[in-house]
Amino acid sequence: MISRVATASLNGVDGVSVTVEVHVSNGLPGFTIVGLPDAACRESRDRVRAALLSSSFSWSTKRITVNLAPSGTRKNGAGLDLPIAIGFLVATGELSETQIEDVGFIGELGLDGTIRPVPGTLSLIDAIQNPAVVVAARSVFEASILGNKQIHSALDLAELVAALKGLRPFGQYNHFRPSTQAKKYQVDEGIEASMDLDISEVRGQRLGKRALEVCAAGGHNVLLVGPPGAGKTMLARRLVSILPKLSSKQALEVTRIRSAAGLELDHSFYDQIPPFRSPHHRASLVALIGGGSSTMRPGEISLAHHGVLFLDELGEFQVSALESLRQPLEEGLIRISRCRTTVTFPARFQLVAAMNPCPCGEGFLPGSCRCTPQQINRYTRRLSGPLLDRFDLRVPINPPTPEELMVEGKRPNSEEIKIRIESARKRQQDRAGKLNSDLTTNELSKHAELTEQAKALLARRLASGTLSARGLVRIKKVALTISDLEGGTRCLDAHHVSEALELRVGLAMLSPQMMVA
Amino acid sequence: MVLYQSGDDRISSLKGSGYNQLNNADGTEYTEYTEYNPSTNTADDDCREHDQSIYAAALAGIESIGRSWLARALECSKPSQVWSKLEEGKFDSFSLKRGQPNDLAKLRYQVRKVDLTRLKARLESHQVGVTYVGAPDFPAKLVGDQQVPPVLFCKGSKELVRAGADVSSLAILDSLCHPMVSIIGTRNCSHYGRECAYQLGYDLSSCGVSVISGLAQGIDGAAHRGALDANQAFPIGVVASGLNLIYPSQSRDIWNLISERGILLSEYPLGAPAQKWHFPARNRIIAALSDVVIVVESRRAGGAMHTVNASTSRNIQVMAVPGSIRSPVSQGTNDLIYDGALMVRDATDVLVALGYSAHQINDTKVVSARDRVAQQTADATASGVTNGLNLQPGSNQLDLDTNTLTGKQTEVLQAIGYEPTLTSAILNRCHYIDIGEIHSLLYNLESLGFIRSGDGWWTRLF
Repeated sequence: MISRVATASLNGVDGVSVTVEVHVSNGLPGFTIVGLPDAACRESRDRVRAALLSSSFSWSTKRITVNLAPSGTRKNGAGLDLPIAIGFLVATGELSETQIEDVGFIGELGLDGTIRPVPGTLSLIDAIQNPAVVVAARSVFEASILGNKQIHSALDLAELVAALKGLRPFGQYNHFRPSTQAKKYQVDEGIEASMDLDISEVRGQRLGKRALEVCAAGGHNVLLVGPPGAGKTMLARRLVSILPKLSSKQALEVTRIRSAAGLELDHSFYDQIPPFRSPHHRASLVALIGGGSSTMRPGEISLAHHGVLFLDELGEFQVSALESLRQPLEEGLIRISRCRTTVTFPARFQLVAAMNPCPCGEGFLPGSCRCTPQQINRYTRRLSGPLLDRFDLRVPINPPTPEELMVEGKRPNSEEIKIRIESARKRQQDRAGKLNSDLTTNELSKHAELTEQAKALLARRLASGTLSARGLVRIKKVALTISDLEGGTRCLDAHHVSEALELRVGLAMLSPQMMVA
Repeated sequence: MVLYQSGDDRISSLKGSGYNQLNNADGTEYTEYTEYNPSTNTADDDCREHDQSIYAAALAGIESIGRSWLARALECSKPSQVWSKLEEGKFDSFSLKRGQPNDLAKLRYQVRKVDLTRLKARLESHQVGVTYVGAPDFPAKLVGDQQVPPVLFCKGSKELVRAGADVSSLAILDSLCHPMVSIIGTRNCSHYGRECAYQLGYDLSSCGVSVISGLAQGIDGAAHRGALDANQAFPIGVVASGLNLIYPSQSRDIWNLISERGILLSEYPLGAPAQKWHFPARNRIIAALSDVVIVVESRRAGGAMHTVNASTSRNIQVMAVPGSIRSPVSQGTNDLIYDGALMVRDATDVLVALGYSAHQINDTKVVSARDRVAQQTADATASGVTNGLNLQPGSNQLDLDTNTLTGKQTEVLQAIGYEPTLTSAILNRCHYIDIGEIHSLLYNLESLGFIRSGDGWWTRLF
């Protein structure tokens, strides 16, 4: 007897339609799975057998061959357990082919027959052609997001078979919903920045806050440089609180990636909060950009898609990991090629980085820095010119003085700033259909007209050597954003350019031999 | 025990000569003699076949000979005589280097080992000249010094130094480089210190004063950069390594420029790497050569203070550039001024200390640092927007009237110091003014010429 069951397997963040073929025949008793299964797939043999026996089905002593078609592509994950079990039941005559005709199956099996959720359900559902799909009870909500398929579910195999046979109706498991409550501390998942944080909690740091406002408005990448305790991390964590909400399309993309990475859905889906990821500086190259040997998993940069990737202690990251960010920063996606497969992950993120000016961290004040010029040179040399160049904003962050800390008075809160940012973003979308940071050089010269004074100022800076030709384009983009925040005249005035110049200091500022009066 | 030679030479000389290449505990390579090979002995007692300076260079290259001993020996006899005595092992009654057992046999082997012809060729190929205590071209200021360097290696502009046999180059130290002023200070200097050092170097060189320094990063380098930009007097660099090893590598450009336009001096033979203890020794030469020593920025305890101590013990005038009492790198200089060192406000003060007459000083037209910056700003802005710059009648000094400014402009101006003030500090000091407006005001003030912009910081001019 032979049976066919529709299911899907994950390739990157996309699902690939897979047909599970089960053949039961006479011969030497055995159970083989062919069609390039990975380790988790191969193990499903034992899970399926145990689950079937626990659910009071009989195990056949015949020769069982399972083929995962198309057999040329590698299948991964335990999500094929359920389709294999169903295929076996059809092949042994327990279920009839008509009963599973229009149904696809996704699910991992427990030894007792429980059906468990699998990562990437959202993408898998999308890949299955059948009008109805059976998923684990905990996945029902996620599977229903797209709304284009009939979703069935059951708690365990026995219940599912009964429902398929029509002996009982499918259970309603919509009560497994993600919490709508913002969890305050989800450090393990990196979503620490939530709506609870407000930019008004930061005292002083006007330049830093302004930099955040500008980078949020124009989608610019920002580098914060300052000694420990100056408030770089505090500022960066509050960036999400001033970012506009995601569109539902963007939120869906973010959810697909999170799901494929095996992360649970949480409140950020309802709130449409942009993701905020802050990987540790020892993160490996693969953890950062994604990949893996058999299962291609999205990396931190993809999890930060449509959101913020915060790299604290930029100088401590592995050089290779940092350099690998250059392509995704330009293209908004990352292509990972292995010998068997090439996967493309979306990675349109905003990069926020923080670093100390020197290894001892106490730069800016020559007296307090204990580093030799060679040490500083070595430290700053880790960051290549092309990478540093991709930061439109490079801002020195100094520790607040006692007066600044004690100053009481109204500080603008995140909501007020967000309103300004939203209108600035709308202005950019109306003008060019994209954010200022994504403008090409031609578009920039079309949209950013400089006044005579602004031209004179730029010419002066170019002549004095504080501004490079490469920096010129970046400065214009930032100046355009500043003018958008202000209300947006067509011309870029000298004070817009002047402020942009202050927000993008040269690399010499990174060296600590700077005297603060 | 150690014979300095360059890498290639050493390897070639190792072959068949019984030297084993070994490593010291500190990682430096040295060669140890294991077996004597008489065929390499070239020097002859009676007929001197090389110039005296070659013998001097060879003597300086043998490390087991102490500097003070060599200086004493060279004061009473010629290098060739000392050399031949060493070859014969006649110095048995001398302590060659304090704290080291005299192994005259080994020393003799080392001396006989040296190939003077090759040494001469090396000096010529690196265009390095040699002088020694007692030589006619030995700098007069060093003669009779309490710690006189026995041998000096020098590298200078091609017109001045004829390398090789005729090394009368250092005569120019006395004839052309007068007066000489050293500008020294910390490597980890502030922006203020770097600008002051550059300015002093530039102005003094413009007035024909030779600037001596150690080519280190920070103050030393900045002073030399200024002197090289003015290019009116011979800059002198005293370094702590052999003249074929550039140290620190960041000063490569200055090193090359000075060896083209001025003179590089070193007490150490070719191939000698810069060692920790070379620097205080180098500082004493800087002090001894100077007419005036200027400390621009230094901590209380720093390399510059070695030079100051060396100067005071030689009765050389020490001057210091004052700095902020809050700045740790100005503590040393402020202490010096408190203790009676002369204060340097601009190059004129140095010229006065050098004994220039008022007439001579007027001729030099030293412009104060502030006026120079203002002039540059005026030049830069003159082409652009109209501004409030006006020349005071009867003087060539620029001045701006702060009374013409609006209230907010004045507030922003007052938030800026005369030293670089970070933009973030200005924003916080004017926390009641809108951030966009502050940038607008800063731009106005800059185009009016009241302030100067740096990269992320501002300086007030008026």
